[in-house]
Amino acid sequence: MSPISQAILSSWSFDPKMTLGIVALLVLYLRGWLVLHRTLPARFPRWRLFAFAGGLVVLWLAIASPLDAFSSLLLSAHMVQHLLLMSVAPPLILLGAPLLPLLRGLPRKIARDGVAPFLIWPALRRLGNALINPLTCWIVMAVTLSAWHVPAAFDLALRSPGWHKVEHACFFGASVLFWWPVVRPFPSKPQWPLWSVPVYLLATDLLNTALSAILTFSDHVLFRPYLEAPRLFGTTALSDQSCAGVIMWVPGSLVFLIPAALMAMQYLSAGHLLVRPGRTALKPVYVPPLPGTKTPFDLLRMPIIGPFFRAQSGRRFMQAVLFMAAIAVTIDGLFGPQVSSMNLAGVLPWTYGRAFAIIALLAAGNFFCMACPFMFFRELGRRLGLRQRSWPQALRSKWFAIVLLVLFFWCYEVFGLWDKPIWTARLIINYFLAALMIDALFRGASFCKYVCPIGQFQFVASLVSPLEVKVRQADVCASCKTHDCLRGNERQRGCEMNLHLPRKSGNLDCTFCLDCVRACPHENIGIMAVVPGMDLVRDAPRSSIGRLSRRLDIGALALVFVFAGFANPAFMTAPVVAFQDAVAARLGLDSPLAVTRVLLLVALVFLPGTLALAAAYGSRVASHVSVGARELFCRFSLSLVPLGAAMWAGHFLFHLSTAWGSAWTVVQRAAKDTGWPLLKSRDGELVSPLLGADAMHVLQTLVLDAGLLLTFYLMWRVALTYASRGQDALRLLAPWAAISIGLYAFGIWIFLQPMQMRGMADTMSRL
Amino acid sequence: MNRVGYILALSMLGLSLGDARADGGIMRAHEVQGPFVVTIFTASEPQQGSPVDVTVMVQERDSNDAILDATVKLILTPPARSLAKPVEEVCGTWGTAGFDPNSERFTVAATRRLASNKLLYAAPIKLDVAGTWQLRASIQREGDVVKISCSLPVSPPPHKLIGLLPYLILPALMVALFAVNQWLRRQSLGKLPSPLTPQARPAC
Repeated sequence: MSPISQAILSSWSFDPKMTLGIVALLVLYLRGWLVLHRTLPARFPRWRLFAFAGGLVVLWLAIASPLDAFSSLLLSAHMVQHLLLMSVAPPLILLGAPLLPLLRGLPRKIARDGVAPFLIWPALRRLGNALINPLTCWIVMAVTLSAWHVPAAFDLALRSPGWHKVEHACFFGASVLFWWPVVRPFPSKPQWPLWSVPVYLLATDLLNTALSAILTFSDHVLFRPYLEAPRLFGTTALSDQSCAGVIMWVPGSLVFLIPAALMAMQYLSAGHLLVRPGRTALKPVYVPPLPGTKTPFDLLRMPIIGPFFRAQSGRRFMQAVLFMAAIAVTIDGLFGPQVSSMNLAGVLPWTYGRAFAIIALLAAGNFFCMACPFMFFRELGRRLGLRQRSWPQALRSKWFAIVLLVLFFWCYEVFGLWDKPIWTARLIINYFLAALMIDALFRGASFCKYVCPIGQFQFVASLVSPLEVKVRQADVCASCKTHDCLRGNERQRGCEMNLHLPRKSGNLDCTFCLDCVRACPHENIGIMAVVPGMDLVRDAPRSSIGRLSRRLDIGALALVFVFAGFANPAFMTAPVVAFQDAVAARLGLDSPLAVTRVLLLVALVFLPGTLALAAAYGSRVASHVSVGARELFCRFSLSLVPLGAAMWAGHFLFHLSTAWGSAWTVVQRAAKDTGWPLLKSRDGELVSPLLGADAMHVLQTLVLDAGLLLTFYLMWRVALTYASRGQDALRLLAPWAAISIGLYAFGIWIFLQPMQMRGMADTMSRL
Repeated sequence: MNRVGYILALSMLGLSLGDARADGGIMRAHEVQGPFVVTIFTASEPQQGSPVDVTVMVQERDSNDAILDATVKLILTPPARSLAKPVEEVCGTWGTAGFDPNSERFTVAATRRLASNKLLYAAPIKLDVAGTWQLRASIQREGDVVKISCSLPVSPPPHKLIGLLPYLILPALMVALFAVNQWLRRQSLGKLPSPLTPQARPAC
């Protein structure tokens, strides 16, 4: 093969957005088709699947193949691309009868509650019927085809990639409409008789012939960019245009003529009465209900992963890994270089640990607590034999933990923990000592439940996790007399957080320790999939927690979690840093530290408290519901958790992306210092971010969008539990929605600000 | 595929990688020099701080055949009196740029590997200063060297919020859709006879 041919054949362009979209559509279709193929094999045979998949492949080829790369140089290549987009992909996709399979492919709840109301909306049905009326379809196709072949429009598409995409979208969309009356995809009914279809196709072919004749026989180049473009393969611009005209004329016409002939033959044959307007010869089909409720996904039933988590040794292994990492971080923090980007204590916990913890929480569950590095010291404390006391009654709430959590965030900013490896090391040592002391003296998991600030953070964030430790079958628990999951037995202790699994709801206070899983003699506990956050809609009494509507401390904990999510990155931004400096200068202070201290207390305590109280009273007054402000405070504060979790995720993903690769260089440095040089170091090599700034902004905005939408949805559902009328529910949630929108806008503002990198940039430049 | 899979897949659809991979957009220069026919394409509206795709096509003067073994360098001169400095990002993540402090020029190699159309030589670059840059392409092959120049107007960047607008509108759109959804559901529920109404009772 000549080098030029090789170059042409390798000129593929990969558009990840479009490719992922096509793959997602195919997966959705396949999922629905599998169900329908089982229930309606005659209506959904295999060839429909192949037709739909083939249509998507042709669509992908039109956009990604060398045709696209050459479309700006050769009109003939461009014409083939348009032919695939308009005449091949759409009819194939419609032959797959995609409506029902795509609907069935959606999760049942989304299809039933989200999409179905739109599908049965009379106004939308009328609009749909008007759109697929053959006359409308023909006009749309004719206008699109003619308008985009006007030289000014075609030139615009050639010069601007954005307009080029619009042109392709118009062609594809108009063609889907055009082919609809021809293919008549199930379950749509034909609006015109069968004899009209050949006429419809021939009328379009006339237009196509006229346009292609103009292209073929024109004595000058119609589209200026092709006149200016460098010539390839010995062609001239005019001969290329003629060739494009012929392509549009011959294969383009065949696409209309062949189906027209086939349908005319069908009409003229004895079986032409198979299809008539308003009546279908096919027997009315029974459309079965949406797929029934399946057993939810259970992580513990997965091969390899399930047995790993179930085994005590699996959890011990994870704890050992994090424990070793904590020891390494502590030693390096104490004795290593006191530059955070060169020290394990500056990089591992603050860049990687936090990011992976939040990713695990939002993608799975509370796996950080499962692999808690402090567990070894807690176990050690237990074995000292001093555990005689119960945790003091006065401290059996989250208030003490809230104070510690606020203190933790406060110290993080004021003492610059991220930038002082020795302080990070001291913090870890103190954590170990506290865990040892408390678990040595008090029964149960008092440290986890009432003290550990990291644990409280995890508990709150895990309210929007998609996995939960819960019972598999409620009736098995109903017949259980021993309650081993709570009390334990001779081989396994029960839940130290006092969570009785049949009455446990949500992830609050659950450390994913799986003691209950191993204790249950019926193997009736799993790590099951749940809809994130939906647990907050219910206000049933929960084991060891009670009703969330009566737990002021848990509402306050949620508020601290949410507002700290915004305050923490805000203190990194240049305007906030400049503001602190300006205030300090105005007050005549040498350092802005005092301003930081006050601002933090305002952001973490005063502001959330004031706003939430005002919102609680405001919503009570506005809606006239007979419920106390305290209850509204508790319920709606928890509804803000998804927004807070999204902000934490957006923030930590930024650090992870920016400092990606720094861990390896720091590990190399630490190993080299201890006399164990690892692989060759990458001296002088810059570590690129995982994502560019623009892509990171998009990702952060999408994450925050998801958080805001889930928060809104939870607020709506919570409001409906108090107000039966939609208007009252809206009044009830309005003040809280205002807080959410304010936080969202603040989050977007933070993401767009220049960040103080605070020691997390590439390390090699300093080494 | 589970629910999380859907969410991840759909989320990925919205991700814009922000790369310039369109192999130019408009022709900036087209010259016949020495044994070559050289054409330079760039994006139609280069913007400060965004990747700009600069593409060069080199052809045989006599046959118009594409030449695939030339060495193509792009020399970029910043706008006069600008404060352009050798920043790491001048050439994005795709290539490296050399900075000549005496002449205040950046030089970057254009390669076929970086082009979608493998008959062309491309270099996606990021220009961090708005104004009119001077772009010179130097083509070398078997002792023949030609240089052709053109100007490259770079406009100031739009506000970052404009780029994010579709993603900022998304929540409002979803809320609007949800509102219609709830309205429709309430309407359809309202039409259903209550199980306690006499009409709904089975006839005895």
